[in-house]
Amino acid sequence: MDKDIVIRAIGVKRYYNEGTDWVTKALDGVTVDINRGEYLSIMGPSGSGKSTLFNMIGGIDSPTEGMVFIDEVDVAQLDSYELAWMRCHKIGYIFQSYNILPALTALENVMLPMTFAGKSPGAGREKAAAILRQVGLGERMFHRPYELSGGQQQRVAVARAIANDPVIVLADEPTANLDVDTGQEMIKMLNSLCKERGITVISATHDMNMLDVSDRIMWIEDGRVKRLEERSSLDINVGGLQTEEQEVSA
Amino acid sequence: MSASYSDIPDQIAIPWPVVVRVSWAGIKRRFMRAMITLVGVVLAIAFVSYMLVVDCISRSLVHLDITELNILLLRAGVDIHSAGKTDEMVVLLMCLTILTCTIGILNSMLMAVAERIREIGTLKCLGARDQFIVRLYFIESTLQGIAGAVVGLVLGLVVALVVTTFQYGGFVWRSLPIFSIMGNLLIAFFVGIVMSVVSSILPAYAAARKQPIEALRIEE
Repeated sequence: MDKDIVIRAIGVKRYYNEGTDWVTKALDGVTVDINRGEYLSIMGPSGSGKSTLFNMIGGIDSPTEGMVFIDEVDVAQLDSYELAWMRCHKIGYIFQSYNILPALTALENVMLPMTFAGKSPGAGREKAAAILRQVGLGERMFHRPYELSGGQQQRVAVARAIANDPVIVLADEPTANLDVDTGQEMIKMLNSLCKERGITVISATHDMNMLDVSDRIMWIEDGRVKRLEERSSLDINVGGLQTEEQEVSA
Repeated sequence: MSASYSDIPDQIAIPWPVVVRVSWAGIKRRFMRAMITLVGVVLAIAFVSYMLVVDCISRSLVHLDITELNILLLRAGVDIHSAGKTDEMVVLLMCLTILTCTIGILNSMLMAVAERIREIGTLKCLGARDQFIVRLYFIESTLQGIAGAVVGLVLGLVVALVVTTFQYGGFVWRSLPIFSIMGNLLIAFFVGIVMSVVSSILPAYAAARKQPIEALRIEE
């Protein structure tokens, strides 16, 4: 496998059986290579299969057919312990609804993945505090989620996602529940993770503002890759979006 | 072509204090749900303690063999001729109470798993192993069991002392079998904890076996 490729999906299909005869094809043969340090946005209408693909390349669902390699490892070959290890060390997750553990403070939420990774409480605490300061929550680290705004909770989620220095950060509609300004801040934050830390950022999104920072944009429709475009080929105008289509054979 | 994780370190054990802290925070967060579970333990242990203490006191009073007291004991339905034996019906009644309350707690714990499904999915995405989830539920149950058992046995003891004093007057305090009562309360205490832990086995494993995708797909 090429050293620059961090995720390789080969002919990934995900079918759901709805009764005996009815099969829903959420993904129908997706092949894609994602480069290390790349910012990839997955776009598509609701029900297009972008979240399913997102779950496949995040190692939180397994394909009906096809293979997914994350950092050169075939995910299908991993047992539950190895999967937990991979999720802990290689991937950081950011969810649309933040998914911050409500019982814990911001600091404890960021410390948790480090605890799972075997870091000592002292070292974990120090690193978690440093990351929270970086994301602008130095004054809020002892607050619980209900004491934080949506934007602040999402920043805790970003801090938690990068706590174990992952190779990949997966962001599922990270700006969907945020206002425009806070959403822009979030996009900048994800972009800086990608550009400054060299983390591969993959985001399933509807937010057109995300396109501006993406290296590539994958358009999904009916479980297939409709287009895979370089950012440079997009001409983003106010009120419109023009593209030089590069059809990808799925 | 593909690499593997054969060289990853052995399982890293999550320190117990961390699990206890997360469990305790979970109980505080879902105080009402914890209270419902707790009430189940309290009622069961209060009943068991009450029955055991009354049985202890009755047996002790029978041994005094005072005519006036024997009349009171007979009026209260105590079989003074089989003194020293615990009534089989009492044991059966206690077992049925424990079983009923265990099922009630099990139901409440299963509801708690359903309520926390996204949390379980999130924990798994962060790298939590099944073992951590199981421990989390066991500790929550044990903490609830300890709290419920303490409250229950105090309640049972107080009610038993009040009722027996009302029935037999000062005789109760003249020959109060303190060590026997303490021994029985200790049994009731452990019954409470065992009841809580046993009823959390199924919910804990149900929670641990959830795949992150199943858990995250659920809308809150």
